Amino acid sequence: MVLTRRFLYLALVLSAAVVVFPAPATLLGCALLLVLLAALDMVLAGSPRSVRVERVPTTDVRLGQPTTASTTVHHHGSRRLRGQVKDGWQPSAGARQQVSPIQLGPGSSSRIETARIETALRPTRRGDLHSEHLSLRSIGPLGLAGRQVTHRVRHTLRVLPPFHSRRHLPSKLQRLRELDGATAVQIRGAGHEFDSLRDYVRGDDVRSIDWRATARRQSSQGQHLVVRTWRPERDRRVILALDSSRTSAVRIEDEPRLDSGMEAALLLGALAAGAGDRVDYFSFDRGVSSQARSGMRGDLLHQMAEAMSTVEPRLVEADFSQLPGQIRMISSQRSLLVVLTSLDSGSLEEGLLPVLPALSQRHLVVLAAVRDPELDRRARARETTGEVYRAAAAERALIEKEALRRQLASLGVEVVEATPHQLPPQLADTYIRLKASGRL
Amino acid sequence: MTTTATLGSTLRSGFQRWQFWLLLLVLGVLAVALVRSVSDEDLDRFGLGNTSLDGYAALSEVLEDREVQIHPAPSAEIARELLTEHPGAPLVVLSTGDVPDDAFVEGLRARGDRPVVLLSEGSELLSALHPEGPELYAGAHPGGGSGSALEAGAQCPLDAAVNAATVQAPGALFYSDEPGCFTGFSDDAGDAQMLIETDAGVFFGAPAAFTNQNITDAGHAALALWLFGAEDDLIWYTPMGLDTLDDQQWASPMDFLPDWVTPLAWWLLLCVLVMMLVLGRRPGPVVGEPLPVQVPAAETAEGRGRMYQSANAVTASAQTLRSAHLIRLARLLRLGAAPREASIIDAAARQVRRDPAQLGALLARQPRRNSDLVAYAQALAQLEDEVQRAALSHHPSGRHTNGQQDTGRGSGPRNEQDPTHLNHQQGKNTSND
Repeated sequence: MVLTRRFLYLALVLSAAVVVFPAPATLLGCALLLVLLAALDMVLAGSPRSVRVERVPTTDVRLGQPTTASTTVHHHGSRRLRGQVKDGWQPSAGARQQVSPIQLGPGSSSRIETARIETALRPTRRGDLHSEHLSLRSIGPLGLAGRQVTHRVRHTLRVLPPFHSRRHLPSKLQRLRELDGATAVQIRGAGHEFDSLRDYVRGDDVRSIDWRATARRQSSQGQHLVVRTWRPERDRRVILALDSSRTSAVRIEDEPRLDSGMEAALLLGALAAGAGDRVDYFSFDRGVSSQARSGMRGDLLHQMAEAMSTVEPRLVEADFSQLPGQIRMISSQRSLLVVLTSLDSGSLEEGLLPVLPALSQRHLVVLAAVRDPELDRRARARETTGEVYRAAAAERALIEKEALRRQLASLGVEVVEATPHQLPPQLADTYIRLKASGRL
Repeated sequence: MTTTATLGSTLRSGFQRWQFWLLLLVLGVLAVALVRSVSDEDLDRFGLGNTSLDGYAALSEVLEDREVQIHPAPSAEIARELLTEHPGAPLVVLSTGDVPDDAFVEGLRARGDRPVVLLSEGSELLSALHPEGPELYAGAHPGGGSGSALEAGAQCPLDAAVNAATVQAPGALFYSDEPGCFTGFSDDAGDAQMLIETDAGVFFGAPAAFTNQNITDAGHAALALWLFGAEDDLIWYTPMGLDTLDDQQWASPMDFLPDWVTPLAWWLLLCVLVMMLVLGRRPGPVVGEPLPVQVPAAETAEGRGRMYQSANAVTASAQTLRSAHLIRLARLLRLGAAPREASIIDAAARQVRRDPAQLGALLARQPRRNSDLVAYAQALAQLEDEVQRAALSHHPSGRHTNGQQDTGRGSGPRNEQDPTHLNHQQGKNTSND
């Protein structure tokens, strides 16, 4: 049952009658009139049950981008349906106008009236967002009362990670291209592909001069030294392992560690795919919670984003012991393994360190972690007694991290630790550096 | 299996569909029950409907069984109306502290042959009846115990008292010029009696005798029936505080308002209810938001800091700060992976041009109190700042130059620099090889 504002105004207008004829009978009569009118209107209203709600599938959207979710309402009732619909999107979907008016003519078994409801959304959270129901309110012809029914039909919108670090991508790709041909890579060894010959310019390594080619290009104008250029190897493997366990739930600055890790993984994935490497991504806590690989159909970046979108931190300890097996399943050849986790002595010493020797023997391991600038700020504040004790606690945490870094470095692991906004570009730089030095 | 599931879901959806009406029904039933229970409850002392020990419910039940119609009058106004309505009916005035107004007392004096029974266990009612006369209140009579039973006495003029023979209840005793009944004691002022006759009617000082607890004791039941059960109607007036004022003294402000105000108020109340229904109806069910887990960063550090402070861990904190600064100094001065403490102090002293012994003393200081610790921590921070500034001025382009100067100093510092820098450096180094 629904009563409208018009019903309220009618009741207020009827108070004039109560003033003119002040008797209990008038009260009773007016109340009876109101009840009768409301009942009549409710009966005459088009049945909100005689509709079928159909959700139009949504397209994936990046966090922060606006989108529109559509729903089709098919009406087959015999009476006119007039009223409002409310789409039950969860608050983080950011529906701008949740209640919208609807008007549907009388339908029949042969003729079905259809209306389309558009809800403008601006999601504020990554993941699968839902609208569990659509409430339909049908108002009678007098506009005094009506009926309301909630149709439980689920609507889903997948919101992908925002990938703010995309802005770093052009410059990093440019760096890669520079490596690709313009500069000669000097470290000799297996796996360096010969790329092309070009004229010597000052600064080139004299050892890369190709004397045969130089001899062929001798002309009357003078000497033309020709150098060989090398380009970094292609078709290397990059494996991105994202830790989604309890340590990833920590909020640093204004985003959880998990989201910073995703940004870094997306940037590195896009970069490596652009450089012609094969990228595999998976996130894990007790087991693998999402997975994407460049061998699959479609754009790698989109696949990674889609796989990441539903990953949420879980309050369990990460099971690093499964990591070697998982990586063996992905690739048997030497790869660049990037573990995006935290430099947290507790979880790393128990979990990752025992399996690291096995991993770093076969693969090149990079550990990327978000650094908490809050710790540095605390370590520097030394005004009051309380601050000094807090500074001591922060320093202790920093010392532990430092010790852990050294331990990891001694195992041959590259450690990249940076603040949330700095982590993606720094991880990309590390990758470019490793590629340039031919360590992949 | 599937049938039960379907039945269950049907029931559930049915419940959801009729939820509002079911709720309305339950609320209505609750409201009716509440109103009934509130209106039925009579907790007044000596109340006719009160079924507890100090109530009169038993008395009123018995009187009604004997077809005596009791007309309760909670105010003087109603009592007056009832008196004119039933000209011969006996009147009971039960006072529990409040007394009727003067006009009513005058009416009692001019009652004609209407029997009047006045019940009170205090002196107020009697004082109101005899405002100018001598003090008639003789004292309280204790209740309970076999010795406290009072005999009607030979001089008793009232048939009711003679038939009841004894009374055994707490109450008040009064002096009277005329013979009364149930004499408590006698002294110079005369006999102190529980039941006396006044010009306003029969005055009985022990209303507690007729309560549910005491009605069956001694001759209470007989006395009650003789006093109250004589006629078919009985007017029962209990004076209340406010009705001592009569019409002329106190006019209700309601009397000056127009007729339509009360119905309008009721109607507007109804409109408010309608408004609640209109505005309170949700356009759809409440939608929940599943919130992900989030832990504030630096929580462990904060907790540990508070623990240090509450334990006054001066030595441990100083030690931690010292190690942290030594590690950072070693990195600033590019002294390799694990330098000795003495070499750090030496290098730092050379960098800031201070006496190594002085720096060694600073670092070896062992704070004992909180104030010492703060000073120590600040001194360490200052030293690090100085070293850093000196390092910057020695290498004008700052830490981010790479370089020829550094290459000879071992591999330690290179690893400590940020990866971007390392990248350039390595690239250049390789091209120079």
